[in-house]
Amino acid sequence: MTARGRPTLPRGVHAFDAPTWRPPRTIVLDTSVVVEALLPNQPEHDSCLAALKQLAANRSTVIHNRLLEIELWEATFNLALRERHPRKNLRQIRYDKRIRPRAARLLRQAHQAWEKMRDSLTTSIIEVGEVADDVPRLMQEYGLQSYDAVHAATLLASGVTDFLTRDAGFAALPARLATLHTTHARLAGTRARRRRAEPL
Amino acid sequence: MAATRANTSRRAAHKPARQAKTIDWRSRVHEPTISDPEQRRKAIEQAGSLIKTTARIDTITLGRD
Repeated sequence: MTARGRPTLPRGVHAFDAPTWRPPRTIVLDTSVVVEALLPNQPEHDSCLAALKQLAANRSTVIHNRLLEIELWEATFNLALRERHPRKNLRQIRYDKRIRPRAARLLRQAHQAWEKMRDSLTTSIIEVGEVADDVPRLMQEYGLQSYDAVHAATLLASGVTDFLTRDAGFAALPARLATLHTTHARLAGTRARRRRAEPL
Repeated sequence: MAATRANTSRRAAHKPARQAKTIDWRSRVHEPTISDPEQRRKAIEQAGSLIKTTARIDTITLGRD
């Protein structure tokens, strides 16, 4: 059966798990892809890991902000909390000391995993302080959260437009500034958010 | 007062666009320690199974919620 209606506009959003995806020569990396790739139980683990393997094989240069590492530790610590308290609000159990030994083990594993991944990629790190001045302006112009604005500022300051992310919130950035590479499952939602963000 | 407001608005219209900050990321590129592309792929595969957990979190919010 052939597709009916107008073909969907890409709006600068592509699926990195599509068979036709070719890794760009240089790309900025968001935390959501790395964390998903490093946690085997996550639903998009295979897609994210495959994309990073493609970037490694292609010798693409992967630019990321130091914040990515800090957010990886945050996600790992929250994982330890979630293991012990599957249904509770994390804010209520954040300071539960019983999870600390488990968190320490998970953080060590996360550190090893990230080191191994970095040693296989061509990388360039931008420090938070180098882009911090741009954060308020990006929050004000695009409604980004502060953490996301740090990654967006990294993208803009590096002069690169390709951005590997699973977070549809970055669709607030105009297509001329950010070409988003996300999973196929998030493609339609991310394009819809970009369409809504575009000026009439 | 109205004239002042008009002048301010004219100045804003003619204000040059903010110069975008540029960072020289090329000078600090870290090359992979593994040279063979196939070995790099294998190392990334291994990295993806080093964290042993059965729990799941929302990796977009980083499990904050």
